[in-house]
Amino acid sequence: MPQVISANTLARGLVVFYGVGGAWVDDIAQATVYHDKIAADAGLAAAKLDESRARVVDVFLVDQKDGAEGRAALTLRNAIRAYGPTIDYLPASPSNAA
Amino acid sequence: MYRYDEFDADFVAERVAQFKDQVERRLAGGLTEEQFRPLRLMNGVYLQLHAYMLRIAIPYGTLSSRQMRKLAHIARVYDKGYGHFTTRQNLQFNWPALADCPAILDELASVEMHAIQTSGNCIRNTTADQFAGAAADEIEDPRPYAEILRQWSSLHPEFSFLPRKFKIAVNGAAHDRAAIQVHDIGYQIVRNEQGEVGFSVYVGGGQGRTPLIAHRIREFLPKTDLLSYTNSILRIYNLEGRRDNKYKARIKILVHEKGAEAVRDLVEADFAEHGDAGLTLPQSEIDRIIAYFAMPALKPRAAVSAAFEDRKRADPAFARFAAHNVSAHKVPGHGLITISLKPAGGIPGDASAAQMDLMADLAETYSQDELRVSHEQNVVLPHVALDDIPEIYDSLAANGLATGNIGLVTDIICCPGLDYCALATARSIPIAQAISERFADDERATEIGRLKVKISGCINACGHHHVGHIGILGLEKAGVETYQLSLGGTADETCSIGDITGRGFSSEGIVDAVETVIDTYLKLRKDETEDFLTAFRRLGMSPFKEVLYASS
Repeated sequence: MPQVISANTLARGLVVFYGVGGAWVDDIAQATVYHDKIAADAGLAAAKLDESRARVVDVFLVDQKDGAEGRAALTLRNAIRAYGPTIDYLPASPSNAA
Repeated sequence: MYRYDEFDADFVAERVAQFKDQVERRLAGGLTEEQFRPLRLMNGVYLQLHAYMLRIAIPYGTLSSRQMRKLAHIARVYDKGYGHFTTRQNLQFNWPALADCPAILDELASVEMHAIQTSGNCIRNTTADQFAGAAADEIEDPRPYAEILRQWSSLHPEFSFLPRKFKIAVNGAAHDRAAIQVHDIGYQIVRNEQGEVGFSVYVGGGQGRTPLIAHRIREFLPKTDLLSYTNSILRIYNLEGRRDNKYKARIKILVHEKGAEAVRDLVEADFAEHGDAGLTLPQSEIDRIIAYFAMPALKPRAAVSAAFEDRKRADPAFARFAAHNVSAHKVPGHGLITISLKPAGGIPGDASAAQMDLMADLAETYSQDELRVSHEQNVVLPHVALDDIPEIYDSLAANGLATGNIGLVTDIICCPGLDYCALATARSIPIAQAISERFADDERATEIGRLKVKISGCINACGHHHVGHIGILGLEKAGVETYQLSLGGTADETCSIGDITGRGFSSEGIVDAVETVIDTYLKLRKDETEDFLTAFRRLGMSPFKEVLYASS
């Protein structure tokens, strides 16, 4: 099963994914995909170094699935993490937040 | 309203300074997440699915206009322009940056608010009836006693590391609006045969994965013994409560396993031994705190308001609002307005910064500068003149806050669920929105009558589904959301835990299932005066189950 690595940024808590060159990106489409356990474990070990560097927290592997609409997180929980709340949560009028 | 004394102000300021230093050390790498997590939780900062979440206490649900405006300001400056009123009289911001949290806490301290003890295994925010100090049916205002409990329990060294979190609620009228029987301790203000006012003491209630109704362990506790007796309950819990299994660590499990009588005997023995050891409340101190909560000097008015009655006759939407959202006040010619945070298809409990400001303005102009928040996720203007209600209604209507649905099917309690919460197993808000839209027709909702729908996105039951007349629990089975339905729960003085109907429903099917239950009730009720809960208690589960699972 393909996997990507995710975490939350320490500063803002926002969801990020481990991308090319060890960069943390907010778009799951830019995440490095691991296709075998050895590669995934090596990626996870490297990514976890950024926990001790106080860049991210809660680094973990996210299972992916390949379907008709492309690659997606296997669980709804991780899909919501990747794409945000499924509800229209921002105040209805821009003036509300002005 | 209560105002901080120098002790309150000092300890809150000290805590903000400590947390600022802790955050700086964490961001600089001086503290690991393992070291930092308990420190941030002690200050109400959680890490949720998408971002940090800051939970702010609103003690006994009372806010001034100034405090509400500060919440609006924080929403605008540090968050995304809105906040979420919770089911325990707290407010949550869903998107603060960690680095901003000390500044937010500093802002809160400037209006005598904080986030201390909104997490962790300590005594949490003490809650109370949202109509406290104003309701016509009240025996006595519960807030002074909630405030005394707040002062005593804040940073209490003996009770900062309990086996699990501990929640206390105080209710001041015979009608329980504070859900005291599903709290660790519920204090019900009562009058005894001698005419003295004190408390009936309930212990061991709670929801979560093991819902249990509290047991009354004392019929009458004098007010002066409030802290001594609470201290004895906490001491017994601290000594006897389980620490080996977090799922069995709440006092409700201790009461359930040991028996209410055995726990009562232990508490009474401790109280007999230590009851006069310095915690007996002097009447002068009770009176000092009561003075902070004195009824405002409301201008005498006629009991019947021509302006209010005329508008009701002329405007059906206003009449509906008056019927459902206005409650009887102690003082003739006045009322309490409950502002619904449940518009059709809306997110229960969410309010924008602009709406918070508007509610603060209305409170300042019309309600003696006071607001309340309810555990049912609405906001209350507690002291309004009936003459002013048409004007208040027009302002609310212009800002999407005039939904006249309090106590009806669309006044839904709902936790944040999987859209935000790291613990959730299913989404709850979209289900609430779909039910709200399905029953958005005002006449239909009015025909259905009093009906409380409560939705949780996991077994922890923050959405109080166990005590919903109709309760919905979102679970995840084999990667798919499924929703368990329960019927017949209630959190009032006739407290009961709902019965599960049977196998769960899909996210699409659960709304149809709710409609099926409601249609069945409408068909079988004696007449329109028999509300859903009364009908369910008469009919039992069978007729509902038959139609829900008819095709299987």
